[in-house]
Amino acid sequence: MKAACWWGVGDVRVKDVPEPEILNPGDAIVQVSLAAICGSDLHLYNGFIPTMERGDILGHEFMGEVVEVGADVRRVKVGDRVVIPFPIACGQCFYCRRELWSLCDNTNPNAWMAEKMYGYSTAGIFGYSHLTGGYAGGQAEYVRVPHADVGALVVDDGLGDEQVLFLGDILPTGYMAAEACDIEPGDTVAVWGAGPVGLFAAKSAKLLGAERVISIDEVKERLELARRAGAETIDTSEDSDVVEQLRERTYGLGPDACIDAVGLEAHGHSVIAGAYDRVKTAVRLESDRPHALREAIQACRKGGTVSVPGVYGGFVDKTPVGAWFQKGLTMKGGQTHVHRYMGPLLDRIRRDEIDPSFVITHRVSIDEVPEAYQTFREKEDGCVKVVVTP
Amino acid sequence: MSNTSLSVSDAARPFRRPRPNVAQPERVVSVLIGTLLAYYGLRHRRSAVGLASSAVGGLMLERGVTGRCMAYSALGVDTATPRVVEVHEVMQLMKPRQEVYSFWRDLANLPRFMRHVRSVEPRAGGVSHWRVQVSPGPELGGDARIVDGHRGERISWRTTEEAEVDNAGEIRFVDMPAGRGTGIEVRITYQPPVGPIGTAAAHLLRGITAQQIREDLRRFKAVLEAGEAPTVDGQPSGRPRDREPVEESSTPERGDVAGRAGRATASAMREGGRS
Repeated sequence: MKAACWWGVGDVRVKDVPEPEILNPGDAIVQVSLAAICGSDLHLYNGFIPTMERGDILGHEFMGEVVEVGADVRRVKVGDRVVIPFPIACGQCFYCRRELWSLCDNTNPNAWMAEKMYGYSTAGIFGYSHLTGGYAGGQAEYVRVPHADVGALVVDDGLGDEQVLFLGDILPTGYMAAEACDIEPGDTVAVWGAGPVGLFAAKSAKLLGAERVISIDEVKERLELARRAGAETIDTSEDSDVVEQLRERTYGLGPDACIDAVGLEAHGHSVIAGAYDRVKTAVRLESDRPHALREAIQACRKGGTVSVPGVYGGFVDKTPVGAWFQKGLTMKGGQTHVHRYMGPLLDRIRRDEIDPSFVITHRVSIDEVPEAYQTFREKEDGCVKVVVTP
Repeated sequence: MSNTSLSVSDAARPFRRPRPNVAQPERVVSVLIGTLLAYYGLRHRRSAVGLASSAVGGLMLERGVTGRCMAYSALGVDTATPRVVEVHEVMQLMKPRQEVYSFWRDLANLPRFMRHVRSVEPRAGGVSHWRVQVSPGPELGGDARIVDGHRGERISWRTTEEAEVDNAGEIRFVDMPAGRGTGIEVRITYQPPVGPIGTAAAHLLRGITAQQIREDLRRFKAVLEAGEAPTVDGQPSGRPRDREPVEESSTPERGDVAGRAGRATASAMREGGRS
């Protein structure tokens, strides 16, 4: 079968690889009908996440039809149309029972590696480095899905693939980020990044009752999508003093919650801070560039919440811990507990409260995936979200 | 510091013979090389090289015969006394204590998640026969007696005298509070016998690290909680089939043989995993 493989920094290749097989009794094999390239795949593409190996199959956003199931699979049947959550969860451990699915104890075969890095291992993730298990991903014709009964969301009604695909990652990710803000009537929520997750976070904040949502980005097309999702915008290519802008727009109160939907590869607008992080990451003294996070902490009102759906993997410098402490901020983050949100968000899609397909700008075949990574990284051609038909 | 205090105490007790710090095979080699050098030195005793040869040869001979090496003692090296290998690990799992205890108490289950244990055969009188292999290396066997003092709370064992490797261990089972399942705590001590076989055994046993026991416990937890241990062995990738990624052949279990044995264990677990 054809699969998009990581071949090195800035190098993705389509390879002919063997089809996956059932390896554990809880496995299912899914024939992929639609997959996506995630903003977090760009962190792999750009070499910011360690422990990738040449030949690893990419992709953690995918859906399709179940074509084979293991001996212990009961709920999911061959022929079911399923959306798969990007974290793999066992459903039985301490964390799964608390609905903290992305923190599952039992799904990372390289748990020892993650323990060295983070103290404890989190769940396995499809197509996202050996630190999170080295699972083959879904930018391929077929994919093996462990613990299929626990994760797979069966979608058997008339909704199109493009409407439900994002239930596996970015829609719940944006939603969980907004939910973490504990939004109250009258709240203003500022969202750094108007990529797909930032857009869904903005949309979700509105759904959860925020009075105002202010999206911050430098790409015109993205800001236009944010406006369509009901947000006001700050264009950082025109006005780089985001903290002051947010202060003014809230009459000096500051946003009640700040969402960093950018993560570890932020493009700093302050020349000094931007150059500082570029140099330090280049010589490996710092692994992540936390520009958006620093601004979010600085801009947030006293006693507010900073919510982080953007991916961080290692270490950051010059983070204003003093501002966090002195202002009594609540900091929340983490990989999304997708399993918790799939059902309720599917209901919202059915009720037409949200149609996640509005973020899609590019539709490609599997052979065009390497080029699509390039386009997506460079934000060329108005690229916001790429979906892949294998 | 410790070296200094050792030499002081040696000097204070001049008539006490110091303990050897050179292993048996090394002593034999020292004697052979020492003899050759001394012989060469005596044949060429007029040249500087010859004199040096006899001097070095003499030292080597002394090292071999007495089993004491001055260089080793200065460096704090001791190859004669085998190391005691001690591991301690803990794990939490969401299963009732009695169920966890019963799974461990049925010793035939242990090879399903302990990679270095090849087999455990229960025999009469609370004794069981263990076969252990740390790859790469020979299989070591021995009988162990279960001391099962506290039903449901503790299992402890000790090897009988005939065992090739003296080994004692204890597993404790505790109820964790407020529905947090069971905590298990494992302590294992391996004491290889003194002598060349013991040295070889100790060398092999260094492969049994705390990390490896942790991996064993992790598989145990996954099998009991989730019905299967996670794996990516056998999945597709863009690599040629014989080229596995680095960390899959250098997991804490070390080496290809251990990896294959692990896969065999994993498939054995898959067959009988669900309880």
